[in-house]
Amino acid sequence: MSEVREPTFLVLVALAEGPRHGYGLMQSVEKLSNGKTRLRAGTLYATLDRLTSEELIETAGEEVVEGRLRRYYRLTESGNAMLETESKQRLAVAKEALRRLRVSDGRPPRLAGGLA
Amino acid sequence: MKPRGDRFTLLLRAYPKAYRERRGDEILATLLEDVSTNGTYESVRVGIDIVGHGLRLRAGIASDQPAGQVFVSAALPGIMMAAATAMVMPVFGQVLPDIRYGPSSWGPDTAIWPALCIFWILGCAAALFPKQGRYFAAACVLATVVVKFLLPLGSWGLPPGFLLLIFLSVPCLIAPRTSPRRSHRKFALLVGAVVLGTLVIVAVCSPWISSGGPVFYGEFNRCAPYVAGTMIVCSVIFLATRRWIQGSSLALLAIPWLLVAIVDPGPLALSTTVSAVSVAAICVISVGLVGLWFSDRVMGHERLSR
Repeated sequence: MSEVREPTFLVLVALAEGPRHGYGLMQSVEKLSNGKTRLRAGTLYATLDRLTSEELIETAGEEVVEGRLRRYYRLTESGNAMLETESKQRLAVAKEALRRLRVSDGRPPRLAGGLA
Repeated sequence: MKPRGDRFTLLLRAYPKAYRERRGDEILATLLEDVSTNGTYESVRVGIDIVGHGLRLRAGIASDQPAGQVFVSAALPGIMMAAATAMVMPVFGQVLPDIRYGPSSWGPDTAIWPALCIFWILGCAAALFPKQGRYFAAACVLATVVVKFLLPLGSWGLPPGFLLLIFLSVPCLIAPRTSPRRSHRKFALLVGAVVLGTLVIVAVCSPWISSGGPVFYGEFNRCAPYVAGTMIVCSVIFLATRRWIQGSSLALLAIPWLLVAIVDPGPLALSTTVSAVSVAAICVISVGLVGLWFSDRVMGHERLSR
């Protein structure tokens, strides 16, 4: 399993809520990242291809809306497990960062060199 | 003016046919939904994104290897090559004007030299940053080709060695991701073996070639001292800065060029190579040391003060 990049992680998080189609995923990713990450179609489908080949996601069905094909994707069991592991890992790092900064308990961060 | 759907259908042709048949309708639908709320500028970016990914898919480049990464990998050795070559060439023209080959007078070809000073500086700066790319050898080769096209090498044309290296580098660039070091070693060995094999053939055929055979042998020979010198200098820099993979691969790539320079029937080939390496090494190492000092003192200080 290769390194999980931010866009890939966001796609997996978006799919954790339920099956999504291409455009739905693009919207979810943008919303999840507060507008910081905007996936374009080429990038999105490259990511979906890779995740499918790694069996982390699978097709959940198709429908035609206004003459346009929508294909839905969902997480597989291994995708769920991987997302859980990755999320816990990221959470642990974030907690550690906050602990080191000492902002979690409201105290100001300690400066290097004993100046604080 | 064509409607958006038609334009996107046209752009989707960048994807391989089989992929287009499987995914085309779906991507088109997503594209149309995506750009319906955005302006022309966004449509253009979306179009570029689609074409870029389509072409990468055709080339077999993994989706988790961003195009920028490949570019950066190729750019660094490219800058290095440009820097070293740019240093070597004026020396032949200005300091050693009696040497057979190289620019000896100011003209359209040599007018670009001042601009190349930027390459010198950038090249030395680039040498200071570690870069462990698994496609490094291939990137080196591609960069050499690019530099060959960019630098004013007069009427040298494109030697077959460069063409050979292009063909060798492409499979490496699109190779599936395996163990980086192993694939790198394999590639380096492959390049060395094939280029050396080619040189043996050229050497064996040289009597026939020099007696009126294809012109390319002359072209191949002429640039050999410069290419070898450039590669050796870059290799020394990489090895000195503990970038073993880059250094060793460049050294390996330099061997055939050095051999060509040595077996060149011209009397000045070997001394030309030695001069080129010496002068370029002194220049590059001097500027590199200044750059190292600069990065440690100034940039390091900036990082700490943030």
